[in-house]
Amino acid sequence: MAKLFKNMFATSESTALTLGEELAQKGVSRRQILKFSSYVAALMALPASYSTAIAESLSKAKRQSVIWLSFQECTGCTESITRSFSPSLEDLIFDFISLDYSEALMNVSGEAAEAARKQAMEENKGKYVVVVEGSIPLDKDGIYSASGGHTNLDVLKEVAKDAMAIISMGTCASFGGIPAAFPNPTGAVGVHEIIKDKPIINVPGCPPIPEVMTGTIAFLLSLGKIPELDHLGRPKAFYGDNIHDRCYRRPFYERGEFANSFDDEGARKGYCLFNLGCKGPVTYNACATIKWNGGVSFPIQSGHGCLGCSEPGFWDKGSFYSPLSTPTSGLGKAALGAAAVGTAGAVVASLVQRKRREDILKAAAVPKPAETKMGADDE
Amino acid sequence: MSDLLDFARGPALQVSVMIFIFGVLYRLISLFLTPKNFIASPARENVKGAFGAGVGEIMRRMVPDKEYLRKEMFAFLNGWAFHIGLAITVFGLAGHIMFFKKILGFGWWNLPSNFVMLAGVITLFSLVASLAHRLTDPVLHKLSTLDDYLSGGLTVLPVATGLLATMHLGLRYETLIAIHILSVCIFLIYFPFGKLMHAFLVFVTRAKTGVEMARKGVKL
Amino acid sequence: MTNTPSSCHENDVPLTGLSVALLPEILVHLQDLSEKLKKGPVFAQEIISLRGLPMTREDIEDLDKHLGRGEVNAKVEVAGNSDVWETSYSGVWRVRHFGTDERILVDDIVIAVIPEILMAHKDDISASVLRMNDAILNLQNDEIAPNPTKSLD
Repeated sequence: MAKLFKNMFATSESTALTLGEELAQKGVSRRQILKFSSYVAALMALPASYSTAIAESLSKAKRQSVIWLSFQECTGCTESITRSFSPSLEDLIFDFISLDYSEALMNVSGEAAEAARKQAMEENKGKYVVVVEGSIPLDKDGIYSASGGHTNLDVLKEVAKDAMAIISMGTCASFGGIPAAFPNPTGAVGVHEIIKDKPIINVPGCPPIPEVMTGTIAFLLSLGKIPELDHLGRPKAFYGDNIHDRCYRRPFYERGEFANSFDDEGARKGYCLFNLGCKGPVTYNACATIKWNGGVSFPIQSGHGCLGCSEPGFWDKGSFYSPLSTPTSGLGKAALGAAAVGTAGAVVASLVQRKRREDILKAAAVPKPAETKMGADDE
Repeated sequence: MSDLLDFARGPALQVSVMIFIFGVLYRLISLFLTPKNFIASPARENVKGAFGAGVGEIMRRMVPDKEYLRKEMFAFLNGWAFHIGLAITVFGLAGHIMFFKKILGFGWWNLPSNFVMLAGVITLFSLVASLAHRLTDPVLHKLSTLDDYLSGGLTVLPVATGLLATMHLGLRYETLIAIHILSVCIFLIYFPFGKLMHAFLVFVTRAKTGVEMARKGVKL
Repeated sequence: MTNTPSSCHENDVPLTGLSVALLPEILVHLQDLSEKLKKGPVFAQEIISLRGLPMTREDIEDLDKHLGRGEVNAKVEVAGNSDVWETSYSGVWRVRHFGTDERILVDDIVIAVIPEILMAHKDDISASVLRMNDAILNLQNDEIAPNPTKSLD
């Protein structure tokens, strides 16, 4: 960890060097960069032959200035990325960036921290990358979250103005997340609702998978462009498949073998968790392939359905435990109400009908014939 | 597109289930509460009991009459095929059972999803064939009303969209399942007010016909 | 009540047939390389990333059984281990990068004279020139020569 922080904040003396030169000084060989590049290519599902090109452009590049903004969040995304596994390789990402401002990780605080941010923005005008963690409150001009006397809203607008690109790290920055959950008391929104004129990459997840975060940053740095995004602004390489399609429990779904409670026979046999409310079929993320904690497991493998944490509004879509094929709103009362109205309506209507009929009969003065035997039994 | 799914699973399903329950109960109860017609003529002597006549007619109509059997073979087999197929798909798929469980409070054993899918494919082809038959058979075509085509079409839609959703064909899964649920909503809303209502009335009407015929002494 | 681990059902279908299907593709690349080399020495490498294919562990083991082991075995110790070996088909290499936790990060088939990861890069070589020069100078100036290379930390 010590090395990681040292690398991240070691900037001032080395801004003139290319990454290749700078890393060579540190004893990071070109083989290491090549290995990292082939890892990134594999992660992003790029053609493997790209790795040489990525390595070349990485070593020719300058350290990328990154400003990491923390808004309405729990720091879980930072926790996740700083605990990315296989540290010696993925930590290289911290050798490629110059993290010029991060409230959670930087040593300095107060005026000095703000000064560092201003300096980075000045020196790298139009070239720095902004990483946003957390949602931004809009109600009452955004006073619900502020630091150093500035609201998150003001800071975001100020920093975004001269940025090259913005990465919305986590579901809060991407879509509003938990702070935006009903009734959304602070009027929290994601970055894309505020910033309209900059490229924004959404990397949702609660938190996102570390490899997805580093992969996205590495792609941006090495290829100098935004990866291909889906309709929600997420990199297709990681969010292109839904969990259900890539889930190793999928064969159980096809066979109709389901766990119906968390401790039944089906659960013990590792059957499909659809009936327990798994949101895998409507959730797009790389959990089923890259997995978590260095490929150890992911929620479904650990016996719990997917919550759909990389999807907008996952927090307000009814119970995590109600199956996807069931209605989200309480149907019981509505059904009972409809049944009561239907019955009452029918009874009233037929009473009215009977009354009218008797009136007509009276008016016509037709003597009522004896009921026939046959008509009495049916209907 | 997940907003569409939220709409489908939320308000759309709620409103359509309410309309369905209201409509079905209204029609059924008002039908059973309808005052009996006077029958001025006396019944034939030595006729069957009402119950026997009703049940008899229900059973008799399960198969076409011998002299029409050959001509009606397609309608007969095809009709059975899609009705059984529908029952399997609607009541056999785990996802559907979850839906019923939420409304009724109890569920039952599901069938393998692949088997249900196969039943769904057969049902789909069978339903389309029945609509084609209705359009091509000159007599049937003349007898058919808008209600017949609507009832058939609105049954085809959920089957087709459901199959697309399970096979993940065309669109993203959340969009497909939303369209599937919405097609079911339309089906549910139309159900009580058209010929789809036969699901509840088929045995009632057959029994009534049987009883009437018996009273008149018709020999079948 | 037995506690069956829920993950024991992974890899229900061990062999998908992809391993055998991959062999003709490797052959095409090998033929290309052979043709190129007939015209003179050239660096060219084709990489097939096995992690990008829906192959099971058993598939990859099966593929390696078909490819066999050749004469060269190399270990690269950089940011975790990497295993590089030539298969029994000269010019067809296997490159496998591990993270420090021994997880396989990259699993490639490389068709080349030598995989790029084994070659010394020109930048590294020019840095070596300087370092070696320093080292010799230090030896001449001082009997107790300090290590001219910078440590990682």
